[in-house]
Order: sequence, then C-alpha cells, then structure tokens
Amino acid sequence: MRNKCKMNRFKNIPYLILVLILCFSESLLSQEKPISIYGYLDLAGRDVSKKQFFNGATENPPSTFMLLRTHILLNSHFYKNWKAFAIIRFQNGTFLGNESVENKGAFDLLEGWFEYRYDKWLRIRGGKFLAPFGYYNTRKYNSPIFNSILLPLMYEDEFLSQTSAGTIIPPEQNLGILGEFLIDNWAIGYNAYIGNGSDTDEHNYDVNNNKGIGFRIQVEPPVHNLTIGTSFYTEKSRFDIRPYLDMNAMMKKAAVTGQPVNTIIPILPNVNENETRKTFGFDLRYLIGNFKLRGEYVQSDITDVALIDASNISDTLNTYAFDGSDFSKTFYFINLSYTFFDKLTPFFELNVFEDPRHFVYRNTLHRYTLGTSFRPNSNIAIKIEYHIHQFGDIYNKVPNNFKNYEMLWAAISVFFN
Amino acid sequence: MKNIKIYRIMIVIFLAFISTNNLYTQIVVIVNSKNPVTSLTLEELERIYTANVVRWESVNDGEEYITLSDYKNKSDVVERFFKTVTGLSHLKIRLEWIGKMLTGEIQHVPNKSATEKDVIEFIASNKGAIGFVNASMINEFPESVKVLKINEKNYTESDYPLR
Repeated sequence: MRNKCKMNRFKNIPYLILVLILCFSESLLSQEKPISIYGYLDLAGRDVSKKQFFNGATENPPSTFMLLRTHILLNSHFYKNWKAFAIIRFQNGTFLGNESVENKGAFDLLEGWFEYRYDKWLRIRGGKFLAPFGYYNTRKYNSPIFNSILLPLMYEDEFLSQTSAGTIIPPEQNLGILGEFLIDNWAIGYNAYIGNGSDTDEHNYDVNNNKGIGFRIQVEPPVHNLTIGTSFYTEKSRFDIRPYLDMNAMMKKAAVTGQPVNTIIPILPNVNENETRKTFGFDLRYLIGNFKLRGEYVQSDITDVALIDASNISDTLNTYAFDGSDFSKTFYFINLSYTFFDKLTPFFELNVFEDPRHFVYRNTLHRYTLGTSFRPNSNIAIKIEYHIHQFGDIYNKVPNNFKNYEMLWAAISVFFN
Repeated sequence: MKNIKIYRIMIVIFLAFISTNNLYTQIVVIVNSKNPVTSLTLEELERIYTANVVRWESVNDGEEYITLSDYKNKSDVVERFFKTVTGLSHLKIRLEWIGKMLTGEIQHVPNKSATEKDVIEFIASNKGAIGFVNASMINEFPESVKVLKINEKNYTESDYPLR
C-alpha cells in the first residue's frame, strides 16, 4: 500500500518535468516563448495621524514597514491565436488589504483567463478578468509603473468595503469580446462583457441570477499619448443599498428611542428586487512632454429602491424605513504630474467622493495627495506620498473616530522578469 | 593674405564636417529581409513601439509576432528615435512595455542589445524583428536585413521624418 502511494507520488514527476520544459524552453513557438513568468514585489510602509475612522478602532494603527505582496504573472501564447494569462498574489504582509492575520501567507488568483484572437478587431476572452471599466481598472495591479502608491479611491475596494460605501467599479467579469479598429489614424477600441454581477446571498455566495453587463469604448486620436474613454455597466443588485437603509433606519430609531448607534446589523426586511445599478464613467489620459494629466469620473445610480412592506412584521419598522427612492454616488479624481531629469516625478492628486446618502461621509470625502516617485531605472520605483482625508458634513450620531485624518506612505516596487 | 586662406580652408573643413555629420544623423528602421513590409508610417511605427500593435498584420494573416529590438544604454540615437516616434523618453517607453506585460498584452520586454551591430545581427536572425540604427551603419547590413521607408520616404530624401 505504502509502495503504491510512493508510485503515485512519482507518477507526477513526468508532468512536472514537462511543465518545467514548457516554462523554460526558448522557442517551441516561432517568436514567442511558450510561457513567460515575471512579477514584482511591493515593499511599503505607512503612518496614520489618527485613529482609523472605520471598524470603531480605539487605538492608533502602528507605523509599519513591511514586505507586503509578491505578484507572479504567467503569460502564454500557447497555440497560434490562443493566449492564457494569470496573476497570482502572495500576501506576505497583513496590513494592506484585508487586515486579518489569516491572510498572511495567502495565495490569491487575481486574474486567470484564456483568449482567442480571431482578428485584430475581435478577441474573445473567458475566465476571470478585471472589468474594463475606466482606464485604470484593468491596470490596477501595475504598481511598478505607477508614480503613486495608493490607487485612486474609486479602485480601493478595501477602503470602500470598510466604509460600507460599496464598490463603485464593477466586479471581475467572466466573458467578453474586445478589439480595435483603425480609422484614419484614429484607434478605436471596444470591450463588451458579461459577468456574475455582485448579487450574493448573506454568505457571499453567488445566487446565480442578476448578471452584470457592460461595455467600453476607447479612442486614441492621432495625437501623441492622448486616450479618451467612456464606460457603462449595469446589473440588478438587491443588496447594494442595504447598508444605507439599515444605518439610516437605525439613525431614525436612535433619534426616537434614544438608543446609541453602535454596529450595523440588518433590521429591515429585503429591499425591492427591481433595484438596478447603472454605472457610467469617463476617463482621460494625456502626456505632453514631461507633463502628464489623468482623470476619471464615475457616477453610479441605483434606481427603483423600495422596501417590501413590513407592516405585518412590526408596527414601528416602517417608521424607520425609507420610501422607494433613487440613490446616486459620484467619484472622480485628477492627477497632475511632471517628470524632472526623466527620473523624478512629483505629483498632485485630488480624489472626490460625493454620496449624499452615505452615513459616514454624509456628503463628501476629499482626499488630497502630494507625492513623488524616483526611478533609478525602469524596474525600480521608490515612492513617498502624503494624504489628507477631509470628510464633509458628518452625521452627529456617528462615533468620534469618524474624523479627518492624514497618512504618510513610503514604498518600493521592484519588477522582475 | 595667408591668414585669409587659412580661414577659408578652415570654413570649408567645418562645412564638410557638418554636412558629413548630417548625413549620419538619420535613423533607419530595419527589418528582416523575409518580412514583406517595405514601408511604415510614423503613426504605425508609434503603435508598434508602444506595443499597441504586436503582430505583423500583413504577414501570415497576422500570425507573425513583432519582435522589438531595444538598446541597453541611452544614446542620442535612442532618445531621438523614441522622442520622434512616440513622444516618450527611453525610460518611459520601457515603462509602457512593462505596463503591457502586466496586463497580459505582451509576453516580454523587447530584446536589449549593447551595440548597433548587435541590433543588426538580431534583426538578421529573427523574421519578425524590427529595430533602428544610425544610417552610418548601412554599409554593414547583411543581405538578410533591409531598410524600411518611413511615410514613403527613403532615408536619403530631405523630408525623411527620422532625421
């Protein structure tokens, strides 16, 4: 029996050798390696001026400097017009992203897809890939080439989830077509895609309905390094608005009963199944000599929100509930940078989040960032940046630690191949 | 009188030097002789070197990949070529390539050569390769390397764009 086990173990060796040969063979296909393996390391540290405003933190987060993440990318043109691509993340540290210790040492498949190229104007992609919504969403893992350490707020899933703002950028998609046309030196690219949407049950399992669909058009006019794009995404999402409704209902309840608002627990029945989320975006990227401008605007509307009549559950529940209504939130950012001596790039970035219904920001959040990056060569980026977060009209009932705060970040990103 | 003659001779030598130097400031774009492409526009060249186009569309129904040739070190020719063609510096164009790798658009960064001779050898041995060298190297081209016209202009013409 033991020998059989040993045999089974050795049975995999030929496959392993085959994979290694594929990985390191130079020319099984005409010009391209069968598979390329490359990646990057991110080393980053931060110092936060005040108590974190989320999770009811009572102590200042410690200053840290640690190896955060290693990303390994696999890229293969494995057969004629077929391509495979994957991004695997190894979470060395704990503080960026999910803060729980359990995530230390975790491997995540961030992207994994196959693509068939029929022609330049038609490629078909299937698997798990970032929604091509906006210019930077599909590039959000490109830290070695970014000048900034933090992504614009609209791409920071962790930040948004911890503030219960809900994601504004569509989730990963599963099937799409894309391509490009050239018309009189105008390059016009398109993406159309469908995905699982963000409709999940209370255990975060996909409920297999309410799929999302979206498209993007990107135009590059015959001007050096100018790119303009517009994106649209829609899905039915019954639970997207839930935190707003619950928190606001609790606020109302607190005002009536005098009970403090401590944690978010669902107290309302389900909302209307017709709730629909529509997200529209516009983006611009322009390089003029050493000057670079980039910006994006995103507006997400949730329409047909209504609570199911709860009068048979409680006499008082409807007192705290919202009537049917539409919700809208807006994000935009502008980033201006200038490169000196081809290596030093100071930048300024303004992020604005407007959400009149949000229970934390109430109206707006502004983030001002001043930073700079230094590149001794194309594979290494050393960055430092200072952030100021300013909240708008904060609701009176929220705890004191929901306040403006500042952060200082420093990072090194190293690309290897 | 003698002084005037010396000045004249010096001016002639100087002008000859300038004109010779100008002849060698053109940059020529080269491909493998097996490649049927004979001419590219500056816009096409930009899309190739920014890796927005990764295949020779006119070769084997687009099955042939474009293999870019790059230089290890900075030089006047390298900086001038990338600025003219893409509007970007050598370092920034490398960042563009890394960005394309990180999104899966290309599989590796272009081959880096130390010298122009290395570039010529690389082009000579790779059917899908494209590169650029100073026009002064043209006498050293083997038969397996050919020069492309840019905007339908030969490098000897006065309005050749890569001067």
